[in-house]
Amino acid sequence: RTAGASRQGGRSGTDLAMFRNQYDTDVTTWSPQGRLHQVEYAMEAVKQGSACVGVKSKNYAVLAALKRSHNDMSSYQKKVFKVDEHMGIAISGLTADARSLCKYMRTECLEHQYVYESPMPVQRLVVDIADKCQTTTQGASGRPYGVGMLIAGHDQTGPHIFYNCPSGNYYEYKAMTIGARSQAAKTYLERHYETFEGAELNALIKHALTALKESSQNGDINSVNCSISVVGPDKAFTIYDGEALQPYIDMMDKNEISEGDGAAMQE
Amino acid sequence: MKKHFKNKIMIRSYWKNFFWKEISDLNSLKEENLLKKNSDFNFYQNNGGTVLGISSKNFSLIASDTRFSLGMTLPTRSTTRIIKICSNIILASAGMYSDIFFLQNLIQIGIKKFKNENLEKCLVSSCAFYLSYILYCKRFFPYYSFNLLAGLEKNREGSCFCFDAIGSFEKTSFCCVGNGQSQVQPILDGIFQKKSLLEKKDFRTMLNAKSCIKEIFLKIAKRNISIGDGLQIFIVTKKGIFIENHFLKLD
Repeated sequence: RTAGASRQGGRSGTDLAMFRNQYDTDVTTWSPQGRLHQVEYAMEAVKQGSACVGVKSKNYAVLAALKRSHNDMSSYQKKVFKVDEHMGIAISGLTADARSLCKYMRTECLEHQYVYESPMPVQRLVVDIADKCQTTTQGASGRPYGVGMLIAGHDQTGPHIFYNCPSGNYYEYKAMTIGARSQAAKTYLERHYETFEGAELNALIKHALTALKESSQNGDINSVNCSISVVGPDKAFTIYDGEALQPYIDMMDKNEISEGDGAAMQE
Repeated sequence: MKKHFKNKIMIRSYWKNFFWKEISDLNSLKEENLLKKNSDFNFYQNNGGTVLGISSKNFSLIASDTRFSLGMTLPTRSTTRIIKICSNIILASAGMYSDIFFLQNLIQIGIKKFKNENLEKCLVSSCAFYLSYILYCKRFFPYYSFNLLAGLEKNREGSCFCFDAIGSFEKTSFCCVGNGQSQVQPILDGIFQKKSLLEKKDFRTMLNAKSCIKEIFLKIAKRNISIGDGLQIFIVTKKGIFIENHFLKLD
């Protein structure tokens, strides 16, 4: 027996340190409470990654992500990936798993384009990935993917933000954050999400960055440790990084967020 | 059911009762051969097209006619044989349109994959090797397509690659493939290699090259029934890809 006590009638313990459970050796073992602990541990891995924010308006979907660097000498880990001209993902969790899933998504999109001569509908790909994640939770060999993905895309039905869970579930959102300290960002979004529908693109980006700021460690958002992406009907999925991001950071710093945020910027 | 005539055997096929074939004694008499269906189905058709490519110091262009022919008929007068693969490479193909269509899709997807995995643009020569590979993979049932790849390399030099149906290719600065190849290639040799003593102008500037191409196409449209209807020119420069459309005779 390990030092940590094993709890039988457990609380969910998702916000506390996880105690070792008796039924968590295998992903194919149920606990008496009807839970798959390995899958829940995989979802914990998502919470260890740095924060990502996804918001959408009537026409645009915006993703913002905080990048982490291993140490002072290393580069910042890429968080936002382009999947196709109309779709992209922001990830939180094990980056290697994310890279493998991203490769799969890119191939699927290319194949769809080849066979049907049209871009892949976002929801179809999301379900595909969810099924792929679910398969790993039901086999004894292999483990669940340890990465949560915010998928932003625009297709004939408009812009979408989906969240793919390692458990194989997927949800559609108007605004969502995942990752470490994301609760603060979530609170901010809950206060403002009703204005997103009619917001202009710049206002939307400002909301995303301000939400991200709430989750950052010391409120330090700059063009190096942050990246955003925009997709819309007239705009292919574009990632803004580094120099290209500086104007949006300045825009966020200049004006404070006001309640009625449908208006364009002051200057 | 066999009927024997003098020196001839008439066989009715077991499977296809509506089809029978007359065969003489001297030919093969084995039943398997006689029951073979006389297939008139031809896997290839020649949909025409003449494609011309010129590359020079700071641009690269491909010109193609837009006539889609099928024997003596014209399914359409305005097909596009030239496509953009990425922002600095264009590909044009002459030959059978369905093979061209799928081949061009394959290349576009392959180069998109390259971009995803390598985060940088594909070189024209890399793309040419890739196209050669795709074509050779079908060595024993080839794509009926004669291709011309053109683009701008990183140092802003234009380059032009011409292919045959199974993938052997060569980097040249001017080339012609397709139906009108036998008529146009000698003209190009004369002009661009300065072999003809009559031409004094420098045809490697964009304006001169374009006017030269228009004249060439006007003239061979009169001499070749599978060329005509329209002329489409794609020009790759460092500012982007420009498209020009001109009319040729509709006869």
